[in-house]
Amino acid sequence: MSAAQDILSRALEPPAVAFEGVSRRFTPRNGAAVAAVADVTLSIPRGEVFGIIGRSGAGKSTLLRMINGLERPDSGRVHVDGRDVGSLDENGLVALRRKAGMIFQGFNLLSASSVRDNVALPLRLAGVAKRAARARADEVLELVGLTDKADVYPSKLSGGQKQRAGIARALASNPDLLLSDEATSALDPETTRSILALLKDVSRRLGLTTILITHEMEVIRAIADRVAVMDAGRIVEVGPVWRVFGRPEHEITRSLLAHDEAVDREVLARDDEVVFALHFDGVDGREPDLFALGQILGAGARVVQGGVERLQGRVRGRLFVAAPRRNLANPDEVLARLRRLAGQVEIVSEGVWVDARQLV
Amino acid sequence: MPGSLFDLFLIALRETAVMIGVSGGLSLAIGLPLGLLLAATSPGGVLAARWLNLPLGAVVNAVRSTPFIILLVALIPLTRLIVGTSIGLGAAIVPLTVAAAPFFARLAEISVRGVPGGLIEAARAMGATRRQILWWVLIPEALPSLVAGFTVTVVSMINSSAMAGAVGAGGLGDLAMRFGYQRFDNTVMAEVVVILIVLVTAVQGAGDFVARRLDRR
Repeated sequence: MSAAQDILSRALEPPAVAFEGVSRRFTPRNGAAVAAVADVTLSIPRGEVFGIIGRSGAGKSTLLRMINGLERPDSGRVHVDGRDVGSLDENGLVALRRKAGMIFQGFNLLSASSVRDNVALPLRLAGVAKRAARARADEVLELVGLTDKADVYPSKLSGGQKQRAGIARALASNPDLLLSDEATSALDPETTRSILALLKDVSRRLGLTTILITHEMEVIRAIADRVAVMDAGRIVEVGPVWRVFGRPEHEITRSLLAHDEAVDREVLARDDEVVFALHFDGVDGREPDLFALGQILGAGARVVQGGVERLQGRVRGRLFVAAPRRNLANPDEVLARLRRLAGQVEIVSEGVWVDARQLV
Repeated sequence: MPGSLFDLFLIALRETAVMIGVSGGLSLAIGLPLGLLLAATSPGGVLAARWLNLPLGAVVNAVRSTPFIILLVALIPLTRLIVGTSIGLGAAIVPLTVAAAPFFARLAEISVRGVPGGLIEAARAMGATRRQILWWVLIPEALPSLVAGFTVTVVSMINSSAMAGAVGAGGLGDLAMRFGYQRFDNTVMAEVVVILIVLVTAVQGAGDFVARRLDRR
């Protein structure tokens, strides 16, 4: 098959998961109905690692559970591999779920079964004989690096090992789809990194479509290709991670990214200096040019806070740079020159934006 | 202890063992499914069905609130229907089972409801049917707690079986009543009580041991 044919067939095949105007409301015992998911339309192609980020209560979990029919939409359709999940009978749902592995924040391993039997469980439920199921369990346990814990009970495992067992279990029946429900939220940062690396590795190696929900942007940053930002049941922003995080359009996205936004007050309060914020959003491929920055801001200019990172190969981040006020005789020109270096430039003073003309 | 009295002890012990053994087995066979049904049909259960849960719970509560001695008499027609007689060892088994099965059902319900919901969700996500969730998840995960609940049930049956003498079923309790209490033979009474203490301790100890061995949490 030629490359062009390959691209064509890929474009023609149905997306792994598609939401069409999906809504779901919950009615709490003491109050009015709350929209958990409101009119979501979204398409996730095969092989993609797709992240859904939002605060708790944003509806991420409900949305994820609609993919394998654990939740039903009130209106709209969810398609998996071109099939309408809502139209499936019990048998159809069982078949769908066997092709969609799921991992959980709380791991959800059976305490009374060994790690091997936990991993073999989906196969045993599908009618695979004990011996064959255990052999397959050992294969996946090797894949996740947990071979030496096969005979151990889950209570003897660390959090990271439990999640590895959870991932092995999700992969046991050779799924096409991997659903991750806050899989790293109960883990420490280092373990989180190793689990994310594992997820990324198995997703790519097995060609899985991976859909993960999280409230931590680190998770998205580490493994997602595209991200949807969810708030109050709606998708407020969706796109490649570098673009959504590099140039967030929506308030919620900004606030999720905001942990590094505030500048030290003492730095801002100095009246002999002006602090500039330079945004690098990856869109135009510009990176911080320190030599040019020095030429514009003159002697004594310094970086006071911030930094950049690479998202999918593109630079994203913000630098706060302070320059002595005496170097800035022509603020308009300084700003114009700075704007050639970065996607967006602002002047920061006591935490508020001020007009450049007030400076001199 | 004179030989004849010793023989009486052995006979009484055997009668108690048969009563507890048979009605214990029956209570397990009836109470476990009943408990699973109560748990499954409760709100939020895997088979949530209020129309079934409420009457079932009401019947269970009604039986549990009736004092055993009254149950023993009130059930005589039923006993006669099932066993063919209303006196003797066989006749005691019916009321003992009727009293113990709902008791164990409630304990089993609590055990099953104690299985974390996340496990049920994980099983559903794997494509488990309701029956599979029951057999592969709920029962194995609740097993240590089910064993503990059944142990408590058996101990309370040993207690109730003392009243079974009222329908001529014999047993240790009957021996204590007739020889100890009615004949003012404090020695026999004390001995029976000691045997009952040993019996209960042994049952409880065995139950605890099994439950501990099964518990991998």
